[in-house]
Amino acid sequence: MSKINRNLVITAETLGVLGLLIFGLSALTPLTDEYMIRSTASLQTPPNVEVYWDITTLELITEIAWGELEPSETKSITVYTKNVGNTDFTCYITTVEWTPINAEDYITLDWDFGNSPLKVGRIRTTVITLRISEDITVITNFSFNIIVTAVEA
Amino acid sequence: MTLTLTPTEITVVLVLFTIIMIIIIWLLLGKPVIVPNVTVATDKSSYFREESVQIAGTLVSNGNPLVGQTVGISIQPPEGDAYSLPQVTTDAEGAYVSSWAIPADAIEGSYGLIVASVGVIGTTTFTPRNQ
Repeated sequence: MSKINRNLVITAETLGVLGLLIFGLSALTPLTDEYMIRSTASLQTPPNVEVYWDITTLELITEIAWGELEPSETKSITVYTKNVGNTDFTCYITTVEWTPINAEDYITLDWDFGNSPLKVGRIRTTVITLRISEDITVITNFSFNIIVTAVEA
Repeated sequence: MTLTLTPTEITVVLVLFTIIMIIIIWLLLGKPVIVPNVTVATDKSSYFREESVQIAGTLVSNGNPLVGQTVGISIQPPEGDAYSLPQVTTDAEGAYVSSWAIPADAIEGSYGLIVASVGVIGTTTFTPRNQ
């Protein structure tokens, strides 16, 4: 009757093969990644408008990092817009200086400030939404500037 | 190089590995985490319109006052835009004070008072009422 050797034998060759296998798998990983897009947007406001990350107005926003996005993805962030001027106003945004230029064709930005004026000293909860087109290709990094415009009510 | 392990040795290695992992997890989770705490309170729970709400609170970390820290204060009415109050600074005891005059046209309902500092938030509520 044959005796089964239940001992585990690890040779240098086995270790080498395992190492190559792990290295090979890690090298292949990027090939299986989905198409990801990274973006940042700088925020420029007039003197009577300030936009914050928090309702207690401690963290002023100058740049928004949208993180990694996929085609067809929508990402929303909540910000807090404060009237630091002397008159009530309504607010609009425009986007400029897209890099690359054609990124503008595939990406839209909405801001739900509403139509009612923001009174002096008040803070409005505002949602900014970034939408990526499903048709986007090639672009993996983009940036743009958000210009906030206040119109006196 | 040849490394031969018997079933007994494999068992010992696995047991030791498990014990080490348990110790690491225990050290990571069991380590006390010091989180600052900010409190906020008003002198009353309801006010007449145009009356002044007196606001006070403290900022501490592990029982020790956090001195000279900026505290942001906002008041959120039941509807509409929030009111922004001037920022204040904690004193030697980690305490801060502020006040807010309720507008004559303040709508009815529960008003949220929100304070924040060093990444922590404190809240309370109060109610304006008719004369």
